Amino acid sequence: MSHSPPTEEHDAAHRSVEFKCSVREFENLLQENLRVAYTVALRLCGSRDDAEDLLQEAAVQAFKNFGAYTSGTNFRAWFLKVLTNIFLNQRRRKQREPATTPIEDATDLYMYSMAKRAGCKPGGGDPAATLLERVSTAQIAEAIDSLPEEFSLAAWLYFVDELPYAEIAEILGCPVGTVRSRLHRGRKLLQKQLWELAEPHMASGSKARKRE
Amino acid sequence: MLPIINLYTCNEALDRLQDYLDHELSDREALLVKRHLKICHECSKKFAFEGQLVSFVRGRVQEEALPEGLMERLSVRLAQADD
Repeated sequence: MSHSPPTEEHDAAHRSVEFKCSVREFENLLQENLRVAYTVALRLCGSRDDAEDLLQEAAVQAFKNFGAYTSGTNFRAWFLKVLTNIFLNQRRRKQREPATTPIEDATDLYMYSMAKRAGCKPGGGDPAATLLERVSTAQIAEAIDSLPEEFSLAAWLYFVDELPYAEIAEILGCPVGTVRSRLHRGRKLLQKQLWELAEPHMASGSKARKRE
Repeated sequence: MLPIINLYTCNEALDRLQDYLDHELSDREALLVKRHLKICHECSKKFAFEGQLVSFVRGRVQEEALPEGLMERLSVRLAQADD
């Protein structure tokens, strides 16, 4: 196959075709991962409007830097990294301090132990669901948000996207061991908060049962 | 030849609870945890509870409905960025 010498016009046309293909490819890749990306954005931002703004900004930046994405690698992790970085930069620019919870370590198996101590039998059926059924999704989201930032970011990626530790590490730019310890500690802190949300319902539920 | 005894204690199994639930253990370690859970009812209950808790939270925070027309709006922004 012979190649004619490239002209300026040819080069421009060629670049344009390549770029158009990349746009289409980009949109296809984005479409495949849109639900997860939007849910992560929503959980990070807390409102639908802010989530869409974040997603749009991430889409534009990722598209402009699409050359940095290696075809065939994990697009979702790459895109979520772009999205998470924009979120963190915006937050820092606004100098809004992330919500924090004083870090008082909870014990392992906190909810299990507390439920058992409170007289629940966390053995049969789906006791976790029974304990938390009256806690709203918004309350659960708030509980995750209120964790210190390094824990809440990892927790959102873990809960929303079920990513393996290695991918979370790639997105957050930290070692896998750091992700493991953040998730471990974050999970304990979260259990403490969830228990505080679940406990009042548990008490009112048992009173109601006694009255019946 | 004597069989190699490979059983985790409760503490050894519980130390691996999170990694086990998240499929982050090596095959060998996961097998040893499984063996322990088969013979230890108390640990089995704890592992089940923790697994259900994660599933419950995931069930609540995942699968958010997409706003109508989101992809179309994104396409418009991308087209603008392309100009």
